[in-house]
Amino acid sequence: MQQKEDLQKEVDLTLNSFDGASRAEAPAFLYTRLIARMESRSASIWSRWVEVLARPAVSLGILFIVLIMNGYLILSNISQEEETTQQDYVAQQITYFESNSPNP
Amino acid sequence: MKEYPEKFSPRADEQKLIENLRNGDESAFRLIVETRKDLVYNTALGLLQSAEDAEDITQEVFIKVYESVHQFKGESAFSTWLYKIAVTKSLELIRSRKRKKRFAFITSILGENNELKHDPPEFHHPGILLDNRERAATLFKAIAKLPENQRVAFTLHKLEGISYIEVGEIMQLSVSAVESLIHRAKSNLKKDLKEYYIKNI
Repeated sequence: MQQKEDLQKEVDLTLNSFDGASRAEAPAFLYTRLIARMESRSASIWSRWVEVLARPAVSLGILFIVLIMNGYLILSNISQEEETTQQDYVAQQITYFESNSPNP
Repeated sequence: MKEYPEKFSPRADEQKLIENLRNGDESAFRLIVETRKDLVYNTALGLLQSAEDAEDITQEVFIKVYESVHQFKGESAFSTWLYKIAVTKSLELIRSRKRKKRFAFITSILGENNELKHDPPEFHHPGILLDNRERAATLFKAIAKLPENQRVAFTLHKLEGISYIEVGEIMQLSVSAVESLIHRAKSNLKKDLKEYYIKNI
C-alpha cells in the first residue's frame, strides 16, 4: 500500500517537474550565425545554378534545343523566301501582260 | 538604419517593426531576432530535446520569417505565428529523423553496416530547477513517446506556459480539443511513468 502511494507520489512529482522552469536562453551570437547562414545560402543558390548548368547532360540539352530552334528559323526563312520569289514572278507576269495588252 | 528603443509596447510597435521588416530593414530583423530568439529556441528545445537541433531550427524559423513576412496578415499575434513556424519546423525534423531511423533499421536487418543508434542520452533542460532535473529528464523521455499532437500541446502548455487558448491558435484547434489533448497526454504520461518507476525503483 505504502509502495503504491510512493509510486503515485513519484509519478505526480515527475509530471509537475516543469513547474517553476524558466525559458532556456538561445546561444550567444545566434544573430551573427543566422546572418552568416543566410548569406551562404543565397550564395549557394547561385553556385547550385552554375553547377546544374555545368552538367554535361544539361548543357548538351540546352545546346540541342538552341540548334533545333536555329534550324527551324533557318528553314522557315527559306520557305518564306521561296514564297516571296513565286509571288514576285506572278507580279512580274501581271505587269508584263498589262503593259503589252492593246488598249480598248 | 533606424534606431529602435530597447523596450517597445507590444502591439503598435510590433506592427511597425513588421512593416519595417517587410521593407527590408535589417535593424528591424535584428530586433525581432534578439527579442524573440528565446521564445523560438525554448519551444524547439522542448520538442527536439537537443540543444544543437534547437539552435538549427531557431535559425531556420527566423530565415522563414525573413523570407515570408509579407504572408503574415496580422490576424493572430506575431508570437503565435512564430510558435506555429517553430512547431512545424521541429516536427519536420522529428519526422525526418524517424524516417532515417526506420531506414537504418531496415538496412541493418538486410546486413549493411548501418548500426542502430542507442537511445539518445538523457536530456537536461537548462531552465529546469536543480531539484527537479532528474525527474524532468525522465518526463522528457516519456514525452518523446507521445503522439505528435499530444507532445506539442503538452510541451507548449507546460514548458512555455502558454494558455489553452493560445495553444489552440497555434495548433489550429478549439480550446476543448486542446483540453482533451492535454488530458490524454497526462494520462499517457502517468501510465508510462508508472511502468518506468516500477522497473527502476
